[in-house]
Amino acid sequence: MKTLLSKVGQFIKTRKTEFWIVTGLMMLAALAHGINMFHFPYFENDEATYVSQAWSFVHSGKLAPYTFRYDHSPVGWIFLGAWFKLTGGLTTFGSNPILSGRVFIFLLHMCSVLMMYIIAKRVSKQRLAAYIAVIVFSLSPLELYFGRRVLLDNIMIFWLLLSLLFATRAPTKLRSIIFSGVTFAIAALTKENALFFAPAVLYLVWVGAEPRIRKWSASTWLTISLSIMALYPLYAALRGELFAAGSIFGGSNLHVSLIQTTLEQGARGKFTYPWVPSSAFQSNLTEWLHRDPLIIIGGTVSLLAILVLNDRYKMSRAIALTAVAQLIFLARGKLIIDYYILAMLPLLAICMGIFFAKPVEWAKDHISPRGYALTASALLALFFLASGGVAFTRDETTNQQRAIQWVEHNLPKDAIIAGNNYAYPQLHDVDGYKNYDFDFQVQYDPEVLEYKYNFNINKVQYLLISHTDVEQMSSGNLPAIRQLFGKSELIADFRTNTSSFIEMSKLISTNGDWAQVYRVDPKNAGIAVDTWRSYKQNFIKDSGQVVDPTASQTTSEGQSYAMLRAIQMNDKVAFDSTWNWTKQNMARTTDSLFVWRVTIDESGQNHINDTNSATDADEDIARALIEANQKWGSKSYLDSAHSILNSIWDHEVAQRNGRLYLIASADGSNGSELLVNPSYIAPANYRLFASVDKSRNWEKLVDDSYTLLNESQAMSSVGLVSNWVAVEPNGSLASATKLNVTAPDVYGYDAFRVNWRLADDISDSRAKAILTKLTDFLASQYNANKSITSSYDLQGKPLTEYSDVPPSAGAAIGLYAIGNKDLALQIYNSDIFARYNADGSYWGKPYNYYTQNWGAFAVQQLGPGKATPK
Amino acid sequence: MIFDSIYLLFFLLMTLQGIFNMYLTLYAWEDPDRLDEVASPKEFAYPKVSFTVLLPARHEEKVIGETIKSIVGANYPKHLIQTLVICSADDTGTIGVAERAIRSLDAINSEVVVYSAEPINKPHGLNEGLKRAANQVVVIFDAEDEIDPDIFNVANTLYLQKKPDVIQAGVQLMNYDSQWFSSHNVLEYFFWFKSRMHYHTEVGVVPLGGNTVFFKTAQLRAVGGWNEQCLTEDAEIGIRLSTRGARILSTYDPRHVTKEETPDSVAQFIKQRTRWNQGFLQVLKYGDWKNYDSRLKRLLCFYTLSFPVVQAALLALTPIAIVFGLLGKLPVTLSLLSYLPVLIVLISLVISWLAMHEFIADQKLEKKHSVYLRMVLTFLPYQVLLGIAAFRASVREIRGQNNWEKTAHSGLHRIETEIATANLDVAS
Repeated sequence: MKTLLSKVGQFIKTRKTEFWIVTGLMMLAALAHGINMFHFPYFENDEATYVSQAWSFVHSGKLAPYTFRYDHSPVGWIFLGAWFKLTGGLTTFGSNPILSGRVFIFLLHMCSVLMMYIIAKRVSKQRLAAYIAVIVFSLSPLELYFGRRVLLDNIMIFWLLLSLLFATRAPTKLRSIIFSGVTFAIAALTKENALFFAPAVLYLVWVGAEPRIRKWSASTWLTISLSIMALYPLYAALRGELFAAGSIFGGSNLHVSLIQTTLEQGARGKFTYPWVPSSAFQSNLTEWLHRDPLIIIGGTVSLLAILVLNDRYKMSRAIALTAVAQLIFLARGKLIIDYYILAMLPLLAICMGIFFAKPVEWAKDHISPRGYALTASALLALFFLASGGVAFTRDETTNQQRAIQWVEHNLPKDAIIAGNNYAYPQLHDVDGYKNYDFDFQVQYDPEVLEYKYNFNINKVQYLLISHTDVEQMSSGNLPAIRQLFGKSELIADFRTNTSSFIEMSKLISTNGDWAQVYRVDPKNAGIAVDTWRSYKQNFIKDSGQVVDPTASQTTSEGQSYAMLRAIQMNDKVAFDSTWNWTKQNMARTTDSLFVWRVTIDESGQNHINDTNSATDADEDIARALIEANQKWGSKSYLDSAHSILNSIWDHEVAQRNGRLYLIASADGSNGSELLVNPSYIAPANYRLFASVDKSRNWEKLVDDSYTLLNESQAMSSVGLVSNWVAVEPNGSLASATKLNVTAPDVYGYDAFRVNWRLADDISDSRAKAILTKLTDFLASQYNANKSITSSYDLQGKPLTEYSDVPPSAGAAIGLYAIGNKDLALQIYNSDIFARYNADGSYWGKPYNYYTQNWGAFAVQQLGPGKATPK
Repeated sequence: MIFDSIYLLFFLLMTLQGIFNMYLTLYAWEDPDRLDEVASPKEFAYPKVSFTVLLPARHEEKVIGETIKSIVGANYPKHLIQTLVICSADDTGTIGVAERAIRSLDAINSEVVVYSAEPINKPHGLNEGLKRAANQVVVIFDAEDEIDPDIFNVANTLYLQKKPDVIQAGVQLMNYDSQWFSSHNVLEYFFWFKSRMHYHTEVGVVPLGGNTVFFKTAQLRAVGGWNEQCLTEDAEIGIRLSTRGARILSTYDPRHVTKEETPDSVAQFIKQRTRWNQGFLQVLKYGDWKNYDSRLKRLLCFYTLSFPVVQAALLALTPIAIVFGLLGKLPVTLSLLSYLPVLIVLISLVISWLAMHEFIADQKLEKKHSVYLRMVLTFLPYQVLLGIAAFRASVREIRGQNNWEKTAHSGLHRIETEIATANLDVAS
């Protein structure tokens, strides 16, 4: 340390001019890099990735917050982690940890500039060349754009320059070469594309070394750097993660693999020759030229010129070869990312320094000192302003930052958010939003998908979207996120002064200086559309027959549900086909009602074995026809409805002791005891019937129905209604056990539909009172157990241990109708939506027709425009 | 936790030891200036310094004649060289051959010094020679040495230009291909005399070699000559002199090295190495090293003298530790550590290849490419040999067995050189 200080002291004393010029240039570099670096450029995905990985290393000793996939070796972010540790945490330089990362990169950049100066001076043996190199490098717009970001490439460049610094030390000492090997290995372990530099640096070591220690230098450099780099595969091997699962040495357990990931990374992108206009190289070259023509053109010309110089310039040539090595990497024909140019920049700058030093030197000898100084200053100022421009003034991060703040102020800490990586360090690592995940991770990481989301991506409640997400969705890399996005609504928009052209409907964004927060609406039209499409594909034949595949049958209930849903979906084709099939195949010969069931034999032939009707289906078909008439105007619908209403009134509405009862079927329900299914009772339907059929007293049926429902509810100590009840000859209500029906004294797969029936008539206070009493019990059950089981006895004892979509749909619909929307949505999310498979657009088991219909009805009832979930 | 800590400490120690060892190995090449310093003078000064050659010999009938011949034939004024062949009285064979050689070569200032008192060993012989030494500087050669004709010029020039008290000139084993272990043995000498010795002389802690060492006669007499009880009297005198501030210089020039041979069997090798290791332990016990004037020197001396035994112990423990590491479900980072010594071994191997390449080129020997592969295959067995010798030395020292196990010499290095020279003649 002492010797270093005394060397610096000596340097200041003996080379005053150089010292002051270098100090000035360092200040220029600091200003160029530092001014506005927190606001330009926008926070990029990778920055946040490395910041979070660095923090994960420091904080929990893991190499990444998610499964470490060996996509890059971890040395770069281990250093970044050390920086966080050293500076007292993530928020020392601002609320977003990326800012602290940028300060770290700033310091590395300053070191890199100084090192570049020394290297340029050593290889060119000319101070002027080194001055020019520093100016070109510091003011390069490409450097100002990519060089400020917390990217592994920027950390790698620091180590690479350090390696070159050691390698160019003269006279060569073996220890410098060893340090060069060590630092080169660190560069390669920081970002593997440093490996492309290896032959060139080795060449530099060779030509730079004194002949007697040349082979010692080259060999130790190579051996030491390779040995250190070998630590990385060794680490993977020790963890059993070197070879891919399923390979000879990889075992059969599923695990990440260094070799596999490396091969995948290497194979990224389709091979295209670099001269093909559509190649990644060409498209990036266009961007680089657009951002910084000077360093790209000037640097390349200088590079080529240096390559043809003679042996006197062998050190300069070695630097130029190093740049060529990187050029080969860029032009290798596979995927390259725009910021890969970073590693080229210091090398191109040195080449330019060497090349332009000559004419500048010449000018010095031929222009008056004052003129020379003036011209140089003017050029420098012009260069500074021209190159910097937006880098010093444009604010690209405030919108992003405001979106984070919005989340902090408006969303609960347990909100499930998938989003752009940039917000992760602040929201997840600082604020404690433990359910904030990179959208890429949500899409692909089995750890997140399985353990956090239980394979159900629909648990995501919010999306925080910015430029890269739009790009990735647009290019098809985030299909599931895109699907979520498709059914989301914008709730916070931060696009003030954005320079990006944004058209979200077409997934177009041209820059990242904006952010938006979306609420994923699990019940929106998207689901309704998707599930109706899949329901038609899976359950409705082209003929219009709705088949329940588990029972190989068609029911009038199934036909009626399909007709109701077709109206809801405005699908006249489906409506007509299902109605026509029902009319042609299920119509009873004796009246205008429908047989309740058609069985299907193994050859696909339909058979009617039981001609009895089911009242709920008949009334729902009538309702559907009336609504179809209102919607599409065809009179035939209404005519058909009238016929059905006549038959319902005649055969399915019974009169006893002055009261009207809707009995369960046309045949057999009207004995000494009447068989009634409370879930068939649909007051809203009767009001509708009354509007088209003045000849009958449907209003009385409404009133009497409420009386019956009240009586049924009174039979339960906890306010439930039964699947079935019997009306005694004296008019009193009794258990339907003796009438040979399934689960009569149970609130189960029939009774839950009372919620749905009454929700349609909620403006009637009687409906509201019954539903309130009923759902009080259901709410207490859910609050206690976080689940509603599929059936209860009338004392409220659960009869099963599982929840199921249809009964939970009933509960959610009932609660929603009486105004307890929060709980309704909670039940919806946990019991119904959690079972939704977005890929196949179905709930629970894909072949269960009842479940599909009740999932759809829940969406219909709680759907868009009706619900505003928190 | 305790096991983890011990494991960590063990491998850190191994690694540090390995790095320092590598530093010493590469010391000469670290800086090209050092290569210049180590090299012999480019031009020789006018001969002024007078030398007494001490040539202790025991049962060396086969080689002693050649050795005397090479001394007599040296490029240095005969009147400035006194040659004393030192034999014990019972070794009549060697005495006879030596006397005949002196007579037939008409070597002036040469005689056979015969002694009969106990102990019959090299240091005693040297002390007997020292009594008769008549010249300013005493130099030791071994009976089997092939001495470079210019070695006296080298020493004369260094004495005149750099004014040292002691000069250790290079000694080099030559027959790198005669035994399976030869290549490693040859490289030990190569590194020791070309590089490590230079570091030792820079620091001032110098366990000297057994021959081609030049002392000022008066200084040697002043410290009482060699320790007759010590198995490595050469290292002992080096430590003793350097603790008293003697300026010791080392020089290695491939052209002027004294050429020797590797032991001709594994048994001989182990015997020789056992003696050295035990000798080092003895020197450690004598405690002269505690008189160094700085902690660094004392530490270095302690390290150097205990190195063979410590290194053997560490090497023996390494495989056990690695197996433990693999089976013991250690944290991955800790397991990674156990790789560091392996890494250093790999780097050492590469360095050895380079050294072998340089050695063969320096000495213009016939290139045998198979040696590079053999070096890899014999690397570990060679370490085992070193381990056995270190173990044996420790046991002998603990038991108090101090008798001298002499190494047999057959003059292989000469044959090889002659063959090599013959080949070169044919080639040219």
